Amino acid sequence: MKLPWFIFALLLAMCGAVGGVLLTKEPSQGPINAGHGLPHPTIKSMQIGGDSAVRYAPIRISVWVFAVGMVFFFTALLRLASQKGETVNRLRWPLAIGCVAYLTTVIGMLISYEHYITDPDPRLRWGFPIPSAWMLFAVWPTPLLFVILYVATFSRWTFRPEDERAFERILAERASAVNETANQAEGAN
Amino acid sequence: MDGRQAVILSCVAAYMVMCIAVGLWAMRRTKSSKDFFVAGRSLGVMVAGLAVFSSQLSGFGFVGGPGLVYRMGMSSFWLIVCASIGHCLTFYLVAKRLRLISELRETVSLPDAVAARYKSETSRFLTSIAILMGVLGYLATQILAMATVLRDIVPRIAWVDGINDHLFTMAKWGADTFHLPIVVEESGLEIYVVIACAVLVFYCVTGGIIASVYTDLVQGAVMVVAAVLVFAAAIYAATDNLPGRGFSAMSTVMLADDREAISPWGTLGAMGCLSWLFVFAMGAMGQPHVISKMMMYKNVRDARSILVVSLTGFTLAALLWIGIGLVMRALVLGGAHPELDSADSAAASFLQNYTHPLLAGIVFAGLFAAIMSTADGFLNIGAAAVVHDIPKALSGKSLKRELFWARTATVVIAVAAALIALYSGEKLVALLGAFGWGTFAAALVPAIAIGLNWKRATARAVNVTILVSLSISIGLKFAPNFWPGFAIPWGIDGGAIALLVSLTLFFGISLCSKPPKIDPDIEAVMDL
Repeated sequence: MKLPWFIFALLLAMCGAVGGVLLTKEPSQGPINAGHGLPHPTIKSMQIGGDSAVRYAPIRISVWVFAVGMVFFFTALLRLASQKGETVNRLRWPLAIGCVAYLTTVIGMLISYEHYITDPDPRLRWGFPIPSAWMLFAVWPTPLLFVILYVATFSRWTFRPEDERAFERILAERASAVNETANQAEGAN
Repeated sequence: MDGRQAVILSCVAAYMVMCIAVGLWAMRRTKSSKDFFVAGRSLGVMVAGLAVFSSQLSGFGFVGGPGLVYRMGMSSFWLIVCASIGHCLTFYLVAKRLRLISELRETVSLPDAVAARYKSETSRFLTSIAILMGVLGYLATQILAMATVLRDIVPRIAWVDGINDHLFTMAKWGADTFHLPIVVEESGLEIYVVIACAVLVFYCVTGGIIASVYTDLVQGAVMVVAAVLVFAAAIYAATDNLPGRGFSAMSTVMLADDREAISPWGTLGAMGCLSWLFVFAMGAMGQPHVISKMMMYKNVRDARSILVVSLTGFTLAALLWIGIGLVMRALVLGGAHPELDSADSAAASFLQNYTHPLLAGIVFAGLFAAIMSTADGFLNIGAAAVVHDIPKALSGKSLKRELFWARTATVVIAVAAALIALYSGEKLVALLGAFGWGTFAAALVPAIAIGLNWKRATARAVNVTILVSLSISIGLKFAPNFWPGFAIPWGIDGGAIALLVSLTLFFGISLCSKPPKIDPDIEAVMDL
């Protein structure tokens, strides 16, 4: 499947996930929809999340589809950007490895969250509950792999010396075309 | 005025004097509209890197951000977590190609680049209109934020109140005499709006984008220093006032109260947080005040270093957001601090009670830096839309004496935004407020970020997605007026819905259309 069609399919899957959630009835607590926060019982300026299982179970599949689809979508865009004409994209394997790493951290966070909501005595890791530690110390920094890739391969792939020379040629051709048009206009006058 | 207030005021005053000085210095370097709008494409790595990150982190990051963590727990962390992948997307998709097209076609604005890529004046016009509407909305809220903070830190003096009353009377007279459709109510903010706008307009008019990016350099540095110091103070405050140490102490208190608040989804829930990740990671590529900086750096090869500088700066500055929000929630829940009146006072309350006055002064200067660095970028792209893009889309050429008109437009836009902020009434502010991050993202990401990397993208797809995304954003904003109690279920962000729909339409329409004809030079650049 060609990359733009793959991206389009991912977008349709993500639309499906969001549509599925929008059609799912939010659990309620009296008049309040309890799927995205409730007023804190004693502190007016705060909210609480409430019952984890009640608000997560109805949308579990959509959450997985949207989260996984989003990781593929981001990486597919990075691949789209690193293509050069019709030549083989040399970054495709490094980007694929980055995608797997990013996906692993997101899945790790989702699985640990599902354990967390049923765990009667959740433990802390590096100062946070384990799923939050996944988010802060894995999901957040993992895209640095793509940063390292960009920095390390910039002059070998993203903008090579031959690209720079090609750009100078394009600039020169453009300048001469603009001059020619200006001269013709002057001649006509 | 007590000693603490004097220190804070001195820091803010020193910062404003610095902005004026930079404006005067930059005036000598601004000789053409190219200097005014794209800094002559001469920015170095540090200036461009800090300008990119400080434009992204507006006053919201210093006030609203900590307030969100206080109110919703970990949910708003996603607005920060998204930055790592968001920066990657921005630099991979936009930095190189926008910079190359800018040099090739001598573009001075994003609509210029859109017109060059799609050969469509309609696309240029629609992009300009989306930008201009967003500029007025964003500027109005930034000016209002600056004025409100100024009013809170400046002591009440009789003659200042007197000037304020005169300004209010003049506005009322103007509204009555000219039958203006505005709501003139006593806000007590007039004099502070005048002061804030005067400084902002002075350095933007004199020095254009050069003043803007060099003040961004200082503003970015102030934000980073302030954030790192505040983060350390937050950990110290938690250790000092709660059982346990640092983050473990905060987590333990929050876990005992509500385990969802300290989970990765916070109180907002999974889909709400994922929609934030989507719209804020992707949205960075559609923020005109941010990506227009990609046209300004000196050498294409600098893009890799600019990415590192910008991401590092943003991550360090975001520590303030995390630190204050978490510690204030934990301190209040743990009974170590009285309940706050509103979530937005979390930052002010922390600075008041747990930091040295000098640090509080630096943070307030940082707050002004954050607000002004965003506002000056908007003023510049707004001026470009008015004097360059819209005339070019309508008549095929931009105005004569463009630099003069750019300076004039800067003043007019700032005054218009100030008047909107003060007197437009809630509905117009709400409408313009809808043109926030998500709206820019939905309207501009497909056209710019995708279109510069995909030759099949068509002008028709651009025009349809801009119109549809604006309609969805406005529709979702006004839905509660027609459908009382309307809210998007499960906390899903409206901007994320608009962005998802616009991206799907963009790919769908382009894939179903004939491949467009692209100018050979643009096509050649897209192959590099």
